Amino acid sequence: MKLMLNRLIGMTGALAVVAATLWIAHAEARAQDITIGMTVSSSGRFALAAQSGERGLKIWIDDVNRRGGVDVGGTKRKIKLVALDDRSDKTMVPRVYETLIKDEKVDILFGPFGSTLTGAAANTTENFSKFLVIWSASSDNIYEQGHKYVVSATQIAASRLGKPGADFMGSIDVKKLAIIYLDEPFPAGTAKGVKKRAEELGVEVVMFEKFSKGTKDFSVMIQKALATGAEVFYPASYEGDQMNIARQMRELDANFPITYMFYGSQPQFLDIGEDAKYLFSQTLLHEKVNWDVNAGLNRAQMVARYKEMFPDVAYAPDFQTALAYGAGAVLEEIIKKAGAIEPAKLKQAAIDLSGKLTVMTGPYEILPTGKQIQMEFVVMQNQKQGLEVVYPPSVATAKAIYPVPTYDKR
Amino acid sequence: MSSLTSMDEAKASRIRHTLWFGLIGVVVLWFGSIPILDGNQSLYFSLMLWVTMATSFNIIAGFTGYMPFGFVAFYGMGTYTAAILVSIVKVSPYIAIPASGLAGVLIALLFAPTLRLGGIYFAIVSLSLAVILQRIMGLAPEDITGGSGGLNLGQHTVREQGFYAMLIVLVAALATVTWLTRSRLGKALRAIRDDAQAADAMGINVQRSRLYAWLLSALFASLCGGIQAWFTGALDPVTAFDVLITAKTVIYAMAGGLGTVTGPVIGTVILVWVDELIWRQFPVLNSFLLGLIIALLILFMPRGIIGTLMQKYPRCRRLIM
Repeated sequence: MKLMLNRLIGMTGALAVVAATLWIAHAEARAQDITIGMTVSSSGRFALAAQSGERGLKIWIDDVNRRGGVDVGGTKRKIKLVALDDRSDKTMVPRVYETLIKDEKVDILFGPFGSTLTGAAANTTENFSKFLVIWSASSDNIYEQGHKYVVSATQIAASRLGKPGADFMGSIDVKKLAIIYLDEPFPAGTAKGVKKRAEELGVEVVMFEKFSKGTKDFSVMIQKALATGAEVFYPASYEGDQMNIARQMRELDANFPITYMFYGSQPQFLDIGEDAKYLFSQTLLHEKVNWDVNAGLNRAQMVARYKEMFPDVAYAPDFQTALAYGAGAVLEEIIKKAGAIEPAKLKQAAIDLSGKLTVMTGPYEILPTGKQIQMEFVVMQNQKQGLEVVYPPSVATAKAIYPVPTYDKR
Repeated sequence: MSSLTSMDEAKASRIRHTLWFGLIGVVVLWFGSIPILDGNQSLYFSLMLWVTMATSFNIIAGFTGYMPFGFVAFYGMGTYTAAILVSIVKVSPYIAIPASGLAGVLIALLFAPTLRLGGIYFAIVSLSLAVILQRIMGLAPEDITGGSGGLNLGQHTVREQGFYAMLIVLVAALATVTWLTRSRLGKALRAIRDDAQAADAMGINVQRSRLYAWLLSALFASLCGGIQAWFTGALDPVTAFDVLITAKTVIYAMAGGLGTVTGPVIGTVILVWVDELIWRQFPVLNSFLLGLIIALLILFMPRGIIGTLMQKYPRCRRLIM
């Protein structure tokens, strides 16, 4: 009996030692990983775009870990992602980010999708002095709050989103521009940016009108734009609205010399068929847009990796995927430059790297506030043979066709 | 016999109040220590906010039987008032927050004539109130409301102070509802809820009583909005007047039991904790599961948790506020 008891005590002690050793080893392994926290909307209006971005970030993490991790002051550290659901709900965002920081003990944060959620996230992460990488929030307002540890790695500010289109109009000597826009942060910011830049270039903005969310009938606005004699019609909104407008333009036989729709080169948009023909648009991700990268994978490599990692996903990679991947590639360089993951060092490294990196979404350049001022989209046109890059000239693959053929001649 | 019954009643009332105030005391101590113990302030802030919203909704819905589907109008008004005063007018939050409550009361006064309507008509008109206010905020000059992009309080966001402000408002809301149960106004409201004509015949000023409940309800909802703006620092017309805010308020209040003091508190606490649990465990399915749980709760406990408890075990009434 006594012998059995002694054996039992001995075995228990041995098991305890083994368990403790394993726990310590695991804890040390965990300590070596760099944990990135972000929120991804599993439901609500931002779900599709957020999940597309998450896939982009996962591609980057997979790529880094395949190479053994990020070099942090001479030590390779792997990346681990913790993604929680924000339900596209701004009021949930602070709670989720605080959970990531306090409970999950993440080292670095990635922003949620969109300006609406990112504004709330930035206020929270800043309160805890955590480094936040923004990949999809364009609102200039975010960068005017005096945040110290916020950087937009890839998403150009809303005030500059419309610049490619406006610059293109200036280059072909457009005289009159009609703009309608959805009254929400992203389209409103883009529209205002287009207006400002166009006016700087001597283009007269003959119509500048907003519409509310849920508008389905655009016929009156289209007719009004036609009546102004505008050469360019620029409806700024999300993909669904723009597809609707394209259809209604054909139904009304509303022919503008140029129609510019931001999402006109997205795969789902092109699926609408003839109504998408000859539209001008802009994108960061297309087989004809190939930047000479000095960090991360190039476009073709990223797309190939996407197919390998997500063979069953119904959606092809889009510019949200590209933005998030690009943000990861930029972050890797920031960490390497900083040699640490302390927020102040990361922010300084981010500023030091400004103007020195080119990732698959374009050249990286930020202001000290963290606002991204490069990563400009290129202007595309959906021509007979397919999508072509028409501006800027340095990357153009075809000449722009304008005035576009009227509907009866197509 | 009757003196024994009234003695029993007095004893039951003392027990009820002791338990209730004891609970409030525990809540104050527990929540008050969260920032000190470095707990998740956002989670507990959210809990306090929803308990306050459900409690204030209970004042108008539980005590008078009026269901304002546009309840978010007061919350949104409070949010914008506080944000505009702090970020544009540059007023201290200690003035902006009470002003946000006042703004909600003024809006409630403006729409007080709708109290003449009853049932579904009142519910729908109040919904239109929320839509109107949302559109006004969207159409107002951007220099004032920030337009569709909304406002960002940035460095004016002071989480800890916002947290304690929410705690103070929560306690005030609970104290108000407790007072209502014992007051003439509370008794008048219950009489109006049960039979407005009979209440009127008994000499109760129906319109004035309803108005007081309406104003109290609006006050706490708009204070919630103002403090939320201070705590999170970012708002826009869509999220400030989101119909889901009304929906959640109604669900939390009903899940616990309208017309009781404890009901909305218990309903909110249980559902928020359940939500937190399933959100962590089921990243993709959490919304579906939460909806399922709420549907089952309302199906099997239409009177709410406290209401059902009191119905099945009438002796509980002696102990529950």
